[in-house]
Amino acid sequence: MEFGIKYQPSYSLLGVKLTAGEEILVEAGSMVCMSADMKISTKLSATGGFIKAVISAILRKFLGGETMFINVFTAGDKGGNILIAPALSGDILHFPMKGKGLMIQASSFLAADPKIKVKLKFGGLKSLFGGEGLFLLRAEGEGDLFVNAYGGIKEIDIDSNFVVDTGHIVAFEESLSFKVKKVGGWKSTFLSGEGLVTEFSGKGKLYIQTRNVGALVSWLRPMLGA
Amino acid sequence: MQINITSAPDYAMAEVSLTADEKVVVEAGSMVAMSPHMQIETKARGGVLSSAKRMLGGESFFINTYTSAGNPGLIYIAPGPPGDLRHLQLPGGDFYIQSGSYVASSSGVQLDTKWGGAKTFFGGEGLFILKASGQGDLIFGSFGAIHEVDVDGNYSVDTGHIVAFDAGLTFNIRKVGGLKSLFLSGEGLICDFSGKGKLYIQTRKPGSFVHWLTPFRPVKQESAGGPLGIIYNIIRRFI
Amino acid sequence: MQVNIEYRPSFALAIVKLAAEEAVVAEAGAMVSMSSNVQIKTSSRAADGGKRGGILKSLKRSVFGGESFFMNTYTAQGGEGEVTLAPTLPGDVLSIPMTGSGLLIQGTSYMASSPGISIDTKWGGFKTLFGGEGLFMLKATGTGEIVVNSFGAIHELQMDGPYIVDTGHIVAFDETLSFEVKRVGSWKSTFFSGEGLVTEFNGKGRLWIQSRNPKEFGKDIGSRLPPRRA
Repeated sequence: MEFGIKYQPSYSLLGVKLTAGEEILVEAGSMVCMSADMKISTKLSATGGFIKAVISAILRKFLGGETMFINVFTAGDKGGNILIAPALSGDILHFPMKGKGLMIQASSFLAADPKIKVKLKFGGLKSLFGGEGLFLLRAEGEGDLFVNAYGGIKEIDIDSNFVVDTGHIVAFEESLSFKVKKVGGWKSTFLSGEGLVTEFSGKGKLYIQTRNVGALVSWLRPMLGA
Repeated sequence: MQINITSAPDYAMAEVSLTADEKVVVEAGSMVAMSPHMQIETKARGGVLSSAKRMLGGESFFINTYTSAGNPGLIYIAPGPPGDLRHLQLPGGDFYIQSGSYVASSSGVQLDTKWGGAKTFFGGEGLFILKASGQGDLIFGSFGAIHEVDVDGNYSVDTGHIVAFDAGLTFNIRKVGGLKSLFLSGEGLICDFSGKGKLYIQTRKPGSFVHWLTPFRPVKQESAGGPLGIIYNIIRRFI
Repeated sequence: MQVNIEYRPSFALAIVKLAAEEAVVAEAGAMVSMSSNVQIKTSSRAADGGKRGGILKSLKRSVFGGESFFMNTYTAQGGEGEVTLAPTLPGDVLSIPMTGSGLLIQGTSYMASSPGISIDTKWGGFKTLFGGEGLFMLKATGTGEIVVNSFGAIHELQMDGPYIVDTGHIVAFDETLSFEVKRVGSWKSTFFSGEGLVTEFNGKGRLWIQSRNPKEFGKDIGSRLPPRRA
């Protein structure tokens, strides 16, 4: 597949050109426009046996902020075009996957070559807190992978410990280890408005987004009235 | 402190470098990332129940103080809404900021939430105008882009679009239109500025956005009140 | 009038400069700031040439996403004046010169126009509605400037042949294009795929799309907010 990303970094639009019969996996609800003969089929966004898939998909929907479904778009006999945009505004990052695993925050997955395996990695009960939760996907394989951010994307080379607000994590290399913890003592966690954070250690690349849906919701809250 | 603003103008984030033991005051919920040795101090105004009320939307202005204990440190700060950030060096004197636009300041800047005109700018949106005085660094943000106007004479602005203005301007608030204003999204309040000074306007209005979101909100099923209800709602908010 | 648009594409602001006694018509709520000699008149009509409210009132709020649809006329009195206008959502603003042929504009994308342009709110919009969802279009005719807004960046496409567009991404298109609103794939796809309704275009003409879908965004954020009274 060939691709191009326009209107970066704020309203990034991903354009993909597929050859005849070629497929692409896309997060449900992200199609903007496409060639008239594209075929679309919907599947549950989790791999594994059917029951496991349904449960994982339900968990993703309610906890990860992702929809339950992924669409597979297949180009017709003459190839096809598709324009893809996520629900939230911000940047789109392309990863040419070549074997190294990548951990992705569940709500950041946008599209991928079907040769890439994307599996749910449950961050543990602790990772459910903090409003956003650390709901991770692990991507591995070869091919093109696209993630979206709410806001701009900043790449950080981690080389010593660094603490990150969970809602701002987009993706990180598998070589990093991480721990979800409270910011300060229990009183700070409760009162500071910061909730839980993730402390990264080791060496590797971390991608953060400069906005976070939880913070947007907190900003809206006092203005909501009844 | 050193301040560097990235991802501007749409999703601006401030990268603040502090010297050892230096402090920065930050609007609660704005921390993006920080060095592990940063210490956070939260002033719980009015006790635990009041803080609980804040988390459920009762209060709109809550700040944390971060200290880079023992060593220099980094803290990345970004506000909730999409938009820009501005860093100003306050020279002393007064500067006025919309409460939702305040992001961070150095400890030398005093913040007054209760001065005379604070609540006159907005109808019932939970917003007010903050008065900042003293010398130091101030970072404020916007919902939308920041449009600067050098006022020299008169200029009128819908109050929902006001980000900040300096002390050289006097202001007068009035309602725009009559009964029909009630149908408009937002409050329909206009601020007539006069004098000579700098006015910062945001190109989007939080009130309209909140109004636009209304049909997408879940509809109230039952409400939980009382202290037990507050605890129930807090747990629900975390999970 | 002169329309200058700044802060594109994310938080675009339209700065309209009016000559003495000149007017601009704009959606109520779009005014950001103005010079002190500008007078505002709120129209009792929902649009130029239409009756007040009318069928608009009975439409579900979801079609407008909670926005009102009243127009204000801003007139510069006794000298030049300036009005700055912005839409509700983050995104772009575009000024399209109209020279006679009509333009179809998605309801929430209309922001402002010069008084010589007539906006018809009752034009055939209803055949494209499926239970309150779908396309609500305004038809603009006449000469002058029309100012539209988008959620996300505005992307212009030159259409020539069949093409499918997700309905929520349509901003405006030339009336030379024919269109049909339909469900994507089978009923199962519509229900599960998240894609819902799409519009199939045919013919030649310009189509402007927005790179974000307001309904998707509204549902995403709205579902996380505290409940409201019914």
